[in-house]
Amino acid sequence: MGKIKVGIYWAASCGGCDVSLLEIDEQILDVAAKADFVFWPCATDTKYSDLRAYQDGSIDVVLFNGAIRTQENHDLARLLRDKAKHLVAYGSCAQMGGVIGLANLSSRKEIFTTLFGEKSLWPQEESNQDGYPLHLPAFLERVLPLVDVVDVDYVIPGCPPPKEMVSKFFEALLEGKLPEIGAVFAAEKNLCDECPRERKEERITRIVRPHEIEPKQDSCLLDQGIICMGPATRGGCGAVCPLANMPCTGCAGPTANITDQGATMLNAIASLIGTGLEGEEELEAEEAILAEIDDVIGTFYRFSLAASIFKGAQREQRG
Amino acid sequence: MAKPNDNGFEPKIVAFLCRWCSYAGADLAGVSRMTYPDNIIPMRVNCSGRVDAGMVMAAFERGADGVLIGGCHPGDCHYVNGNYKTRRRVILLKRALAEVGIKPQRLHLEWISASEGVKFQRTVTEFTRLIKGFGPSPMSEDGKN
Amino acid sequence: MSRIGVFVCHCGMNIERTVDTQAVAATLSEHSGVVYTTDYNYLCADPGQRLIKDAIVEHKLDGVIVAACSPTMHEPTFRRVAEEAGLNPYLCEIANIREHCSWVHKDRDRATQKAIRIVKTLVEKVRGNQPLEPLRIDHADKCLVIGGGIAGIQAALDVAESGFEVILVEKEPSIGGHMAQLSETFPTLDCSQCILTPKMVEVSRHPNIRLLTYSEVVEVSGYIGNYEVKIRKNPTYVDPDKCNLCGDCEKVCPKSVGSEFERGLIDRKAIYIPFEQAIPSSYTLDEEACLGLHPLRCNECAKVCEPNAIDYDMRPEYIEESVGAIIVATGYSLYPISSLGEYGGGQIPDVIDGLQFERLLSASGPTNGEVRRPSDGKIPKKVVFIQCAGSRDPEQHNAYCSKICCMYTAKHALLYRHAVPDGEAVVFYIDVRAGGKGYEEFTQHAIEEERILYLRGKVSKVYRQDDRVVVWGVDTLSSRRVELEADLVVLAISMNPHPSNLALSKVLKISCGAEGFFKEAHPKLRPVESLTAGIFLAGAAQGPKDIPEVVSQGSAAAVKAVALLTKDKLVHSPEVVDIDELVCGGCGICVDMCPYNALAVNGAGVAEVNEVLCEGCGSCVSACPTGAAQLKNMTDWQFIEMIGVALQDG
Repeated sequence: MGKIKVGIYWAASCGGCDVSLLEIDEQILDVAAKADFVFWPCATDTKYSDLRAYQDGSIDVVLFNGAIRTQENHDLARLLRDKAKHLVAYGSCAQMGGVIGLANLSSRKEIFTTLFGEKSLWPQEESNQDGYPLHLPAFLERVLPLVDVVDVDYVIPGCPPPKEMVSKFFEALLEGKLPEIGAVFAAEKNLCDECPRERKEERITRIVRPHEIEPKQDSCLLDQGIICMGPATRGGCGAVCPLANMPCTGCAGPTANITDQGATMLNAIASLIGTGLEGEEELEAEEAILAEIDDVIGTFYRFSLAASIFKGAQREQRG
Repeated sequence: MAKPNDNGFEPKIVAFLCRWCSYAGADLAGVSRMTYPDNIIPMRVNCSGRVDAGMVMAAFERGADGVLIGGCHPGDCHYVNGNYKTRRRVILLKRALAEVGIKPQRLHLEWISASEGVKFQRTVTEFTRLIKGFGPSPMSEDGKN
Repeated sequence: MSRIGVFVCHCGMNIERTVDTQAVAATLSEHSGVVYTTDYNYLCADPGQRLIKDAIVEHKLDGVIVAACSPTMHEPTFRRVAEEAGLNPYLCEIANIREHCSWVHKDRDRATQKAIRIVKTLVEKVRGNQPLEPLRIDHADKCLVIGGGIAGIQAALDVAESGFEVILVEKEPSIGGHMAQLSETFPTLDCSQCILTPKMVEVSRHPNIRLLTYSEVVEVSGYIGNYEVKIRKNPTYVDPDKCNLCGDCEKVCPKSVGSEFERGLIDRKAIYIPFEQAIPSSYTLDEEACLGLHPLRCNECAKVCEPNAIDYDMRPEYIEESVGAIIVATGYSLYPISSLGEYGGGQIPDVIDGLQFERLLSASGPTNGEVRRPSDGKIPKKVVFIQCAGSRDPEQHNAYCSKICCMYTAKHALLYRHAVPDGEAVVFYIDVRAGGKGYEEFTQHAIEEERILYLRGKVSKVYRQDDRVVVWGVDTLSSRRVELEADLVVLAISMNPHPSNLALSKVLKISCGAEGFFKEAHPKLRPVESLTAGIFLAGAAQGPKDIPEVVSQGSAAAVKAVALLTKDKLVHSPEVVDIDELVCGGCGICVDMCPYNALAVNGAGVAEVNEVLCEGCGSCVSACPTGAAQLKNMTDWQFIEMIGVALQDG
């Protein structure tokens, strides 16, 4: 049996996902021994033409990181889907649009205006440079998660995917024991399950940002007023952020029972905040606490906006 | 009767009504043969506290132009304090709606007791008129594309 | 579920007039999973019920929608019909196309379209429903009553008379509560002790009542029908079976402290009986007041006790019981008089509270019913009564109205006028609230025929001048400042929650309102139930109230408890929350949300539901951040499908 063929592609993302592949330490030697990287634009000299030349289904697994922002991302997702036996959404952006998905709060026009100013300066899809035609891929109106463009077989979540999950994936791949289609290489339960901080089941009486207090090491960050997305986020990373005294921001996405991670956490926070009493007269105090959340979408949908029910801004009213 | 907002648009409105107060208030409106716009599709929940952001968003996603939540008056919640939890959720949810550019007024929370058939009628009538004036929800238009 | 039947009722013309029921049935027959539809004139009538039953059997239906009137009307009817046809009743749902559709709309086409949407939502609900069985649980058949005042006494007697065993726990050495301290009761002026003591005696003699005085409930676990309670019986150091009430011990006891029963007007000894008619009728040695529970230290009482009833080695005794129901009747306390500095409370000896005045009026009181003021024992010739002392004052004191003070002040003034015919009685009031049978007549009688001067206004200051107490106030009806020199001032002090409420609320896991009284399950419809099933409330523990109300609540709570204990098994709706253990990470957010303490994170780090306590509100479901918590037959997924069809085009 030949070596396992692996492809890696970087769509709209920061590049951290490519780097995270190296975090598996010495396991990389096993991977190198058993797998060939047949397409990895970031690390190897491979062209789209090489990719097109492969037979459909000839690449055992493609790890696709980054969101779909441009037509090029879109086309490559289609192409890689054809060439791959298994397509993996690797990292938050491929899974849910990621931080890049927050761009969906603005339209393409607003983004271009901000970046390039006058319309005459906007990048053109077709132009002529020194007598040569230049084609730039179209900038889509909205950021899409990979699953909105093609079927996805597996998800390795995270921003970037933590070592544990990546390692678990390669182990399964090298041993030929990939799980059922649809599997997510993370925990089934939420982050709280593996978080060592103790929750006293208290009401959130004020909301603070991490830099505003020195959080107690052993008690739940929510209890201390820091919005931690852990409850609405899949575990599997080992609660690395809470262990470092920082709240979970939700990069691993929701658990299997949930479709909209932000809505779910919004529910939980709205339920939890309060003065400790429930009553008509608490309204003002409750409004004041809720007003301390600066940016509702950015807080609850930091990674999942493009995959949420809203998907992004609606064009009803602005300003 | 004057119909100031009669622009021919018939909105779709989902109403989540708590079974002990608002659903019973709607029953009373029926028993009293009050009339109100037929744009509203009522759905019974045990408590307004059961209505969560996911349900409201799902309604907008599936094409609702407005969502009404009916709960017991403060202090009267059959389940003690479910209505206060929903009140908080609605505050935050309206902010989320505003941030993504949906008019937060498309979501409305009203306390309607079992004896307030008139209030139910008035609430539905006024809310329907408001939504008619707004026109279709941007998300419902998306749905049509 | 794939074999759903839809039955559309005409309700005579009630539905048919505005909704084309045939069209509804026809449209629904196209809906996925629906295998049978029909419309019928009156489904709730016998032939209609038979039609449904036959169709369930004939078409092997596994789900039924009855599109008719409000589920509040006939949900039980049609669920029973389903059950009789062999279908689990929880697979039958009612679509309300009458109250919510035909009766409120006029345009037949549009109403029909709306009816179709409504019915479709219920089809989707039934499709996601699971068959459920009501929960049936065994229960203990005893009742715990906490508090031996009139509320607790009434509740205990009523439960005991119904044939169930009662454990009555009282913190003080005797039952009787505040009512035992009262002189006469409004508006009939019965002697309080005369009507109370027979009930106290009945408690002590009742074969079904186990009385534990000088005792406290320290631990409670379990749930409705099955509470495990632990009671600490504090040592009285006197064996009640041996004590013959001779009182020799009291005579020789060298230590005196203020008598609680006499509200500090006189002293009692460290070994004492709170009052003559106390039940149990035995002495108690107050270990805090005693010079030392050691024979070498004092031993005076033991030396003279002929029956050898005194035992310094008595220790707290712990009693464990299983009970099915708990009645909380802890009563009230008075707002501390020392907190009313503006009225000289706690500083001027001749400014007293209402209960002290009761003792001065009482024939068994420290003055044998002669009204003599505390400072010098003189008979006061002018008494000023100040109502709302500490009540209705959200800035300084309690915001609420204590409810009984208007009435007892009228009674006090009247009894004072009877005791001191040449005395002058002046009452400062904000309003006179005399709602109750015979109450208004009583106050009017006091004002008009007993020549009691009622001044509408607040008192701003009370101070001492020589041996008199000067009261500054205002008469708002004549807009005049009033300055009165009184011999005695009686404050109608606000009722406070009993100080033990807070601790007890934690033991029982029931909640107190902001003011500290126990919170009822519903202020109008469930006034004697706590939020926790199986725990009931009676009397002033729940809020200020007078004796008739307290007694009614005692009986009402007893009936609630008896209704529970009489059942062979307790039945509880199975539409409760369910936790998906594979997903739940034990964050505990649901635990906070539950108003019934039905949820807890277990040792395995997963939320666990006590189904018996769950009332199915779904507060936990909407707060659960993992989707692990779902209400049975009302899951997120069901709602999403229901919303989908409700909004579907065409």
